[in-house]
Amino acid sequence: MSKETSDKGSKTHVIKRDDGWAVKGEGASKARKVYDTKERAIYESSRLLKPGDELVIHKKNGAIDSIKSKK
Amino acid sequence: MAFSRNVFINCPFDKEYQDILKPILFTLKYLGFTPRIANERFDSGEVRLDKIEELLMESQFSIHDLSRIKAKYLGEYFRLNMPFELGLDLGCKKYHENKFRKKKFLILESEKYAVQKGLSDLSFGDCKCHNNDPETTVTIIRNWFVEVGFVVDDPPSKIWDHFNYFYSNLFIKKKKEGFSKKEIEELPILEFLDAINYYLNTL
Repeated sequence: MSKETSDKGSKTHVIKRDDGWAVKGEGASKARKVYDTKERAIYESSRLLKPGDELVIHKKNGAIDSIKSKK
Repeated sequence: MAFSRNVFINCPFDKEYQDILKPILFTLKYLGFTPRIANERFDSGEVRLDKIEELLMESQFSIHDLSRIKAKYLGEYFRLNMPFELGLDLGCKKYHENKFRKKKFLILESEKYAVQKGLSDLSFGDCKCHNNDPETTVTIIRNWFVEVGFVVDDPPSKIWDHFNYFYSNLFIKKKKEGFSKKEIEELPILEFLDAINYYLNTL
């Protein structure tokens, strides 16, 4: 299995944290921001997507909820 | 597989528990340990108890999750396999010599002090409560290895983030191969472990 990285733009994740939902670039050492709600994290991070970028939205258990991209 | 790097996992195998088991497997691999679990191989001709005994004798460390021993509805039989296997493991340490005396146990529960209500024979002062939360489980596993003497540089949040990245990679790869979301979430344990291995090798 090859490591699946986007060969287009960047990949950002919305990940559950104990204090909310973090928006984090893949491989970044720190989260860009932690929001109180998942909906807010998705909304704010979606606004910053550039063409080719992917937003990976995770469930509380780490599995994938959905993947958004901007064409 | 070295005794000192093996971790026997005694846990339920129902679908609901996968949310806790998968982060346990990932965290163990991330920290350089080998999970040993009864369903790592399926052989209908093999006596399950023999397999359990073999696994716990090959593992210096054990994680015993007793969070599912409580009956959920009237008339349900209590689930005794997990406490039974904990007893076998404790006996292995107590009645054997040499390396088995170094065995260490982590006992998990989902509600604080719940285990003590049904199993008061042993003092479970160090029973850790995961609240059925996957992220908390990662923190518990990582911190336990620190408590038993290992040096772990990465904080729990970094391991949790990597678990999420791993799951993302797995999802994308398997989707391309034609797996449905349900099939990806229900991958056999061995296939899941192989995928973890590959991900960690690319770090």
